Formats: sequence, structure tokens, C-alpha cells
Amino acid sequence: MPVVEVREVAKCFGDTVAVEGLSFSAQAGEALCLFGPSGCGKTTTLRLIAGLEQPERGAVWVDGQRVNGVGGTTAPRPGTVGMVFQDLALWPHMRVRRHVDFVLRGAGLSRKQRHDRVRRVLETCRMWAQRDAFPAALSGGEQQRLAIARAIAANPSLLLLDEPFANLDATLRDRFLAEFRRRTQHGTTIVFATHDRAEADALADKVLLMEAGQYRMQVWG
Amino acid sequence: MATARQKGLSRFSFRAWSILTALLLVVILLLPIAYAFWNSLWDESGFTLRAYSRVLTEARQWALLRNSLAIAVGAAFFATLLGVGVAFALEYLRVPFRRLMAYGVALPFLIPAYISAVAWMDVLGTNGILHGLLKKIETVSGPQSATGLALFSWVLDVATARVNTAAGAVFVSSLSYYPIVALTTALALRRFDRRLVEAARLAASRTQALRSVVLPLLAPSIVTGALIVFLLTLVGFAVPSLLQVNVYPIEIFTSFSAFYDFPSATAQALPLIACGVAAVVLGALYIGPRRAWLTGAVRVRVSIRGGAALRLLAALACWALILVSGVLPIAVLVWRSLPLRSYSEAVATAKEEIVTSLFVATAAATVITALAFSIAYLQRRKWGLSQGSMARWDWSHFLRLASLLSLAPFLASGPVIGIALIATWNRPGIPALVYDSILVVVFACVARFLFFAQRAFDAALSDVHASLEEAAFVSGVPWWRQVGCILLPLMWPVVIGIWGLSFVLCMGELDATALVCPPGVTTLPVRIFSLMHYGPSRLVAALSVITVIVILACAGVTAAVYAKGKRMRHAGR
Repeated sequence: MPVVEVREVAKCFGDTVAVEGLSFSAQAGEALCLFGPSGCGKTTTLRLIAGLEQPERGAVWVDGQRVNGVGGTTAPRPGTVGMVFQDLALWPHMRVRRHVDFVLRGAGLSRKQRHDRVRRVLETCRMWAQRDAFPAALSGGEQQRLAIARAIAANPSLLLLDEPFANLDATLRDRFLAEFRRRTQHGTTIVFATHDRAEADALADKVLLMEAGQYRMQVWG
Repeated sequence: MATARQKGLSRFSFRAWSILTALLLVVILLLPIAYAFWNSLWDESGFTLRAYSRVLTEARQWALLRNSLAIAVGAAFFATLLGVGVAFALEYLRVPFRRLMAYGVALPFLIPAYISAVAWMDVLGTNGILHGLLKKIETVSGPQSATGLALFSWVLDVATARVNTAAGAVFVSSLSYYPIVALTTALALRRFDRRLVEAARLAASRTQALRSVVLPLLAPSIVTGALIVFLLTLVGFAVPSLLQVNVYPIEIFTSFSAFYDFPSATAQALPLIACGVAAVVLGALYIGPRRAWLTGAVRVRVSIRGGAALRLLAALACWALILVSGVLPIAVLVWRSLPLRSYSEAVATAKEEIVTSLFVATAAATVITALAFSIAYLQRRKWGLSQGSMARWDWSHFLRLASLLSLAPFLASGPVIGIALIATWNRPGIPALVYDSILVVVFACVARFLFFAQRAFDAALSDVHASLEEAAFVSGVPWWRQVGCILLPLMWPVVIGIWGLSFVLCMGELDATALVCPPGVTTLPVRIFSLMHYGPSRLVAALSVITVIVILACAGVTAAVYAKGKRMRHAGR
């Protein structure tokens, strides 16, 4: 059973058609890249999968649960989906560790387990030293790492990444690519949007080429 | 299973919240207005449009409308001149001591307009302070011995003759409401992108840049402020009533309180609503396409300073305006209230009224804040609605309609709200529980000021990017934790600010409560209003000063908390 399945989805914003008749699926452990120029509907597709936009037609399934479609959306089960937003969407009033702790609250962990998980995730993302800082005090790269830390904190079965490496230097980008590859090997499905060919090459198992309302799936590697 | 239970709870609580919000809107706002309108269509003989045809055909009604419109347009015009001038001095010329000056500019708005009217009648009236002063000078130096004194006497006579006319109402209203235009303009200037002016200055003089770039970009904010002043003056009852200028709200008040002509009193609201809606629609048509001009701008303060002489002149003019519009009315009232024992007398006389007013203002401000936040949130965060799987019956449409209709009670004027609440709740059975208690006064305040709070929350919510909540939504965080842990912590300075503003407005509310206060319940403004007609002026002045002190104390605390919140937010916390 695919972890994420998008069937004949269409989404418009006023007169502008963002996506039309889009269908694809991704199995457990696959990294799927949405590749195309700006305005081709990559971010909209990720938002449709996350249940943040409601489609005019079609439906979206995550882990066998219909999360989006005509007639309503349902919040994903806590811990199922993690997302890195294009604008990062960091909570300006929360410290670094609280960002991670906040999304773990619904995971049914004890306080100690949560603390240990927060530490592990922040150390993975090299953010433990900045654990008491507010987002405004972080550099662009640190903010990006925090957004990634928040997304992976609950060990989601599906990771949605919108331009996840935009603010990272080459070293950190390689580090996170390795981390994401490790996660796919452990069964996490990743759907990420990028217009950078090198990023697509480095992580994707298959690529959905999106351009001017045309969609073409390519299997890489 | 725990997850399913959690989701069920989330869906149920979200639905309950939506229904409660809609129910409160219906009970407090829509039901009384709808019932008043329905009642105005019936008399002993059955269905009739008599009251409405009289409003449209009687020459006297058209004269009233002309009067109301003239005062509203005049006040909006002069308030705009003063407000824009002050805003430019504060934020464009950056005059010295501008922070202190900003507090001074807020002063006239915080003093209820009817209290300013009392003060100005004390200053300019035939037996007022200035006439007294003139007589004393003439006693010492002989009757109008100097040309300056003769000119002063002439000006004073003209002012005294005009104080109880439409011009007097325009004067008092402009001085009371110019801070609104100053605020909207100053906020726009604060978020003005300095680079726009710099780009213009490369090709044009400072004056040209001001005329061609700055003023057109600020125009929507200036129009917004002017529109608010226009509407407040159009529906204002207390100031014209004290100055004995005949306008529509007074006619409504009289139709009901003197003749108990319910249909006429309700029908007379129609021209006010029509003019108000026309003004709002025209304003929206103008502002709508221009709204995004400044919202997307980089918030870098414009700091084009004029020459030293210009800045000094502007500072002096602003301080003079603050003295006349804010300090003078308070000083006059304090002087009139002396000796100090007047205050102990005032407290002894109106102890219950003070407590009632504090309770009503606190309760109404809390209801207004909670309800306005709920409406704005449920309207704006559409995806939040879908969390409750309610997409089939989208409550945002109802709430959008209801929030638009919430303008109706405001435009219908305070006396009509009073009449509508009396008609709805003054009946035996369960409604009597509302009418016989303080609750009906709270309802009146909520109905009058909910619209402002809801608009303010709407603007504040648009400043918090939805992706902050979406990030939590994706992680499966329930809606109440999104609101409680993300939205409210980010918005708490705004919440406090709106609560404080609502408290200030409710504390001074007279237009609706003058009618609606049930037997045994009287608020401080209503007590002052009734004492004005037969009580000693010393007591009226003392009670007015007490009202102003309570309002200023609340405004001061609110401003301090709001400023602290803003500072914390700028610091990234």
C-alpha cells in the first residue's frame, strides 16, 4: 500500500490553475521529488498532501487514511506527517527546544522520553547548543535546521519538504541529505519540492517533472 | 483508540465553539435588531409602512438628515486636517519628545466626547470661564480698553453664540476624534518603506516626493480614519444632546422616551443606516484596491526630517493642540469640581454607579474581546474549520455575514440599540431575566462596540502568518493548542490592547445605556447625564473627573502592557 497517494487532484486559486489532474503515489522508503520551475504547483501539491489546501477535484490518502478531498479535510494523525515549510514557519515566541517538544506532546511520550527525544533530534541537527535561543536570534541556516528538526522530531512516516536546503551551506546540505537517505532506508517516505537539479539527483528515487500543467514521472538511479 | 478519541473531542469542541459564537452573535446583535425592525412594521391595525413613509416624506426629517450629515462631514474634515498634521509631525518630521506627544494626542479620544462637551460649555458658555475672565479684566482695565481685548471679546461672543449650534458640535467632535485619524495615518507612516521616498528624492524635490509618493500611499489610511470619525459623529447622541443641536439620534431618543412611538423611533434609524452604509461602501471601494500598497512594504520607518525651524513649529503647534483638546477640558473640570470635598460627595452619591460601570465595562470588554476574536478566527482560518470536518456547512459564510451585519447596530446609533434591546428583552418570562439585570447593559455595550474589536482582530490575524498554525496542524496538534500555544502568545499584546480599548469605550458609553438601563441599575455616564440637567455643576465635574481618571488608568496600564508585549516580540520572544 502506498504511503501517499494523490488521485486526479485539481486545485485553482481564483482563475489560476495551480494543479490539474495530478496523480502519483509513493511507497514506504521512497524519496519522491517534485521538480519544476517556480509557479508550477510544487508547493500547492505539498500543501494538498498535508491537508492545508482543499482540492476542487480528486483526493489524497496518507497511510491509507483519506486526509484530503472534496467534502473536507482531516488533520493527519499526530506523528504521521512532518513538514518543512518554504518560509520555515518557526514560532517566534518559542525557544528552539520548545519547537521540538511542542510537536511531540501528542505522541504519548513521558516527559523524560520527550526530553531525550528533543536532545537527540537537536543533536542530529546540530542545534543543541542553541536550544534556549529564540528563532530571531538564529542565523538563516540555523533556522532551516530548526525547521528540519521540528519536522523529523516525531519520526513521521511521511516527510514533506518544501525547498529544504535553500539556506544551507554545502557541508550542512550533505549532512542532511545523508540524514534523509538514512531515514528512507528505515522506511520513511519523503516528498520534497525543489528546482535544483543537484538536490533532486542526490536524494530522489523518482522525480515528478512538473511544467505548464504537464506531469511526467521519471524513475532515477 | 486514543487518537480517535482525541480527534472526536477536537471535532466536537470545534463545533461547540463555532455554535456558541454564532449563538452569542444572534442573541446579542441580530435578534434585537431584527425584532426591532419587525416590530416597526406593525401597529394596532396590522402591517404598516407608515413610520417609514413618514421618514421619507416629512420635510423635518430631511432637515434632520442634513444637520446630521453636515456635522459628520464637518467633523471628519477638521479631524482629518488635525490628525494628518499631527501624524506627520510625529512620524515624518520626527519632532522632539514625540513619544510623550503621542500619549498627549491620545488624551482627547480617551475623554468621552460628552465630557469634553461639558467642559467646552463651561469654557465658552455665557456664564463660562472665559466670559468671567473677560469681566475681571474689564473691571481692572476698563471696558475693552485695548484693541486686543476688544478683538478677544468679539471672538468670544461669536464662539458663545455658536457653541450650541452645529458648528459647536463639529468643533467638539473634531477635537475629540482627530486622534483616530492621527493613529491610522501614523501607523501607515510607521510601516512606510523609506526606500520609496529615497527613490522619489533622486528625481524630485521633497515637496514633490511628499505630494506624489507619500500622500497617495497614505491616502487609504487617512480615508479609513476620516470614515471612522464620520460614522462616530453621524451616530453620536450625547454631544449634540448636550449642545442642544437637533440631529437624528436625538430625534430617535425623543420619539421613544417622550412619545413611546416605537415604530417611528426604529424607522428613523433608516436614514442613518443608509448614509452609514453608503459611506462604508464608498470607503471600501476606494480603500479595497489600495489596501496592499503598504501591507507588503518593508517596515522601515521613514525618517525624512524637515529643517529645524519647521520641526520646532510643528512641535509647538502639536503641543498647542494637545493643550486645547486634551489638557484644557480636564483642567476646566478639575477647576469646576473644587473644593476637594466634592470628590468625597461624588463618591458617596454615585458609589453604586461607579461599581456598576466598572463591572459593566469589565464584563463587556471581556465578552467583546472573546467574541470578536472568535469571529475573526473562525472567518479567517478556513482550514481550521475543515479540521472539524465541517466543510459541508461552512460556518465562515454565516460568520462573515454576521460580522457584516454587526455594523448595523453601530450605524443604527446607540438609542436604537437601546430600543431594540428593550423591545426584545423587556417581556415576562426568561427574557425578563436579562432585562431586569445588569446583563442588558452589558449586551448594549457589546452590540455597540463589537464591530471595532472584530475589525481590529481581523487586521491583527492577517499579521500572523497562517503557516505558523499550519506547521502545528501538520504535526497533528489539536486546534485549541494551536490557538492557546501559538496564536494567543503571539497576539497577546493585541488582545490586551483590544480589551483595554473596549473597556475605555464601554466605561464612557452613554448613547445606548441612557435608554436601556433597567430600574435599579445606573451607570456612571447615565448618572452624569441626568445630573447635568438638574444637579450641581460641581458634582457633575467631580464625577466626570472620576470617569476620566478610571479611563486614563485603564488606558495607561493597557498601553504599558501592550508596549512591553511589543518590545518582547521585537526582541524575538
